[in-house]
Amino acid sequence: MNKRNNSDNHLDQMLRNYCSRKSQIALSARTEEQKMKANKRIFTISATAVCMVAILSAGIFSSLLLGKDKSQVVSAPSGFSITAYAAENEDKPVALSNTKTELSSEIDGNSYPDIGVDYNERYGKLISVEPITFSISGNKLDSIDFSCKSGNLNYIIPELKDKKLSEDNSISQDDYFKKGQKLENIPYKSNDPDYSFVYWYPGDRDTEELNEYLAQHGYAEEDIGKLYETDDKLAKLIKDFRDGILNTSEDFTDYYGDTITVTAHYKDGTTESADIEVAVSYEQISGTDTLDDGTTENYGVGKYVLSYK
Amino acid sequence: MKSDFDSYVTKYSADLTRLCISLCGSRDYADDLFQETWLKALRHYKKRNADVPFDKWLYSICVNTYKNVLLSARHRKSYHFRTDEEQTEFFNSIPEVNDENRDDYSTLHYAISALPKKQKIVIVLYYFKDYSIKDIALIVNAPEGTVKSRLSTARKALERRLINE
Repeated sequence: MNKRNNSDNHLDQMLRNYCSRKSQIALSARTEEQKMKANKRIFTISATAVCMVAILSAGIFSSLLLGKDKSQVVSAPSGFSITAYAAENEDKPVALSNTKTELSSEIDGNSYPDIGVDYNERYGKLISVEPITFSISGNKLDSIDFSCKSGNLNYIIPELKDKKLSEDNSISQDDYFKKGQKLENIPYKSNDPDYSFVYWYPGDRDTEELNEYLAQHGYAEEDIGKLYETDDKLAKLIKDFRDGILNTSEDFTDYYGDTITVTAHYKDGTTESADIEVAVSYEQISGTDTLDDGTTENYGVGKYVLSYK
Repeated sequence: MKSDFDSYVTKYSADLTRLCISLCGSRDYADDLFQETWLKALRHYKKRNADVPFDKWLYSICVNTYKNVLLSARHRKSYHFRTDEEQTEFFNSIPEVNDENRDDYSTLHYAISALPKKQKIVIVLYYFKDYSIKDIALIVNAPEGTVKSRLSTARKALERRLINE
């Protein structure tokens, strides 16, 4: 077992306890009948979550130069190219273009939505979101700036990466990544793709608005966690809020979409910028279960849709 | 070969149990995952790469099986308990749980249930056996940077949901 020297906070200790449970729950061998019954699962068909980011060919238009004092935002950069993928699909990066395209999240014939919506009887929608990994490349790149409006960005700090952190767990997760909505002077190394990776994930607006909504009904944010499972009035408020939002592509784009500005700094001192629009295409899928109150469970699949503005 | 495999079953079943339960969030679906993992391990035992330690190979099968099963409506509720007894048994199996902190672990349980699968996998692997990023990357067959990113994102999501933290 590898020793971990990072200072454990309360969450770390809870997670360690949660995952290191005593084996009082023994998983037992089942009869053939039980196995056959278990194998007759109803597999839901998830709509494919595909956001494709088109790569601009680097080098073809390398003669395009911009003024040194100001980075002009262009609709399609010429001196660098960007690929992107949802976190599950590292083997299938796609390129940014002016055409709105969806990221592919299909692995071995199975679909993994970029934004998954499951339905809970008590709390309504349970939403999970995936990050997008952006990779930039260009022959004349020196460094890169990334900024976004509503989401969050991070990248691996190169100095720490060079120390081969995978073998040294003394540095915490928080130190390993540089995070924020504006990341400047990200170094670029043409022979090390990991230097060009920047991770983006959506903002948390729905949680913030939910907390505000609950506060209007007398629930302080610090009390919600401990009342979550037992307070029926709280559960109803949460369910009503979530059922009322995030029902259409426009809703999801409004909450999870973003504009990401990428500025390339070239070795000759020039710069070039491009804006990436992140939208969401959402499809609600009717469930197959009828809940106790007679309503039909619905869930949905969201796909990131990317393009240059 | 069979006796070697049997010894692995004896040695690793307890750990695989913990992994399955932490991933699935309920005994019922953990049972399915546990069974399928060992069946696949037995089928592919002869062809496995002997350079990869057995435990990591086994857990790789487990997480891939978990990841690749499309969830039915039943599975999506796998983190919710059918009876009070089932819930009590589940939480009593967590070390250091007591009457004072049981609600905290219940909150954590449902927070983990809301994570995307791939984030859930790296979180569980990271805390279940203190695996290094390198080990986790080997198990999930992803770059180390991707593993770190998923861990960071997952912890942030859990911190947000654990409002009392």
